[in-house]
Amino acid sequence: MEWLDTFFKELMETLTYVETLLPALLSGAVTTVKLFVLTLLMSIPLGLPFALGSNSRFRVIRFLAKSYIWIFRGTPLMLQLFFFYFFLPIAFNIAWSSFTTAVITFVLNYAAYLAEIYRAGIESIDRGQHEAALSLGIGKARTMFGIILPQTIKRVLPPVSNEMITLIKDTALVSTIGVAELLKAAKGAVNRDVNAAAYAVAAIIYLLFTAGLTFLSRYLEKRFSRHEAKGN
Amino acid sequence: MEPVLKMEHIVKQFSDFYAVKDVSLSVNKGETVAIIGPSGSGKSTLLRCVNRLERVTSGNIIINGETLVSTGEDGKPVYVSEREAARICLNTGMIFQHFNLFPHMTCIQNIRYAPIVVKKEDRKEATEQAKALLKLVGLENKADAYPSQLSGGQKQRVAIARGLAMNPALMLFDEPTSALDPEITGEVLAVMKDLAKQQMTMLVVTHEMGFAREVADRVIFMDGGQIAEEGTPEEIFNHPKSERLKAFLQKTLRI
Ligand SMILES: Nc1ncnc2c1ncn2[C@@H]1O[C@H](COP(=O)(O)OP(=O)(O)OP(=O)(O)O)[C@@H](O)[C@H]1O
Ligand SMILES: [Mg+2]
Repeated sequence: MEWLDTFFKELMETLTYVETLLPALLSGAVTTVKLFVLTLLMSIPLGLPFALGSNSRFRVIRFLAKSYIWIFRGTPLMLQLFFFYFFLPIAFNIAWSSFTTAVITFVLNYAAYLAEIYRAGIESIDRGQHEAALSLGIGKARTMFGIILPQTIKRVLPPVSNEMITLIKDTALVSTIGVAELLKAAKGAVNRDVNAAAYAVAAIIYLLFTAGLTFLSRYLEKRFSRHEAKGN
Repeated sequence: MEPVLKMEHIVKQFSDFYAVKDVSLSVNKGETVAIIGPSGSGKSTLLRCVNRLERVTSGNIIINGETLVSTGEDGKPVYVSEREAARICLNTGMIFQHFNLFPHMTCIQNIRYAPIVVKKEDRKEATEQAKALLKLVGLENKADAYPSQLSGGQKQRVAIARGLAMNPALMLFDEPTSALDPEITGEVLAVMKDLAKQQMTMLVVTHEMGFAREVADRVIFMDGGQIAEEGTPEEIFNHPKSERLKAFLQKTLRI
């Protein structure tokens, strides 16, 4: 059973090696999570005014909201990162950390994607809901916030969670402007030790994040369809 | 006495198609008026003009003596301000073919929502009133049920209660039973019959000839965007004058 001994020996060696990687990778993962959470917390509300704006009665507001959405959805996120990395210090004449630049870019970018999801969700609500509200004398704003949006939440949850899973993976892009997140930490270790194990560990960490998110979104979807006991 | 609803020379055009062509009608207090007619004859469109779900192309609408829209000198409609229009239209309630209950609210929440947010009624009183209305439509045990947990007939009765909660002078019904299975239209019609008996003023677009014959004080037959004939149920159903009405009755009553 010599091969078994060798196998265990190698396994132990690998595990010991992985253990030495963990501090660096985990600190990278913390940065990844920070970027993720900040983007989520700010882009989810920021998408709403753009969604409402793109449905506004006022032409100018509609034009501005739609242009914003078009620009941020129509150009690569990486280009936006490079642009803000270069542009923000010039525009505001102060040095921005690459992490702050990343957060700003991601929030602006994801707000545009979420705005489109919200807009589609709002438009998917049956016209009869607006008509019933109007027939009861309920004003436009009240109708939107009291009747339409609460129904929209449930419908946009699946696409929004998809977007958030994409966001987890997109965070890896910010290594290009020097943010020390998970992928950059892994890459550093691989280049130093000429051993791909760090990539595998990073992949597992990403997978754990996305699995957690999937689980959370399932839970939320269930919670928000409470009143749909049966039928429509 | 001033009629609850007066519509004069209503025209409604969708791009180059005239859905309603110069229709005038009035509904007096306590009256139940039924509108019948073939599909596409403009019944819903006319009804939806009353509470500005559709904007007229021209014509006057006067609700409870207050002008909602009048025709300007250039022939274009002149609506009162949105604020005024909202206030005037509070005199009307509407019941839809597909109920249009708010699915994220329970029955009681559906009913008391508008009284609380529009009329600023006290929450407790509005809840009590909502309960009383649920009882009126025979659903007091469904107060905390969501619309998805109700049958079609129950949904429509909740919708009627919701409309009544705003205490309108005029109730508009757009085919309230045509989305229901035939065996449960009765429970909704019974509620409407009760309302008619209690002198509620109602304008009812319906395919239910039995209801029109039995409950309506007056029946209006629309065809091709116009009122083709108008009269008591007796006149309309037993002594139709126009060929169009005769043909329509033959077709509908045969089924
Ligand atoms: N929003 C709209 N845009 C264009 N055409 C419309 C619109 N609403 C209604 N119409 C047309 O106007 C005509 C009258 O429609 P309306 O819904 O008033 O008929 P109706 O008498 O209520 O018919 P039904 O018995 O089928 O409900 C129809 O030919 C319809 O296609
Ligand atoms: Mg109709």
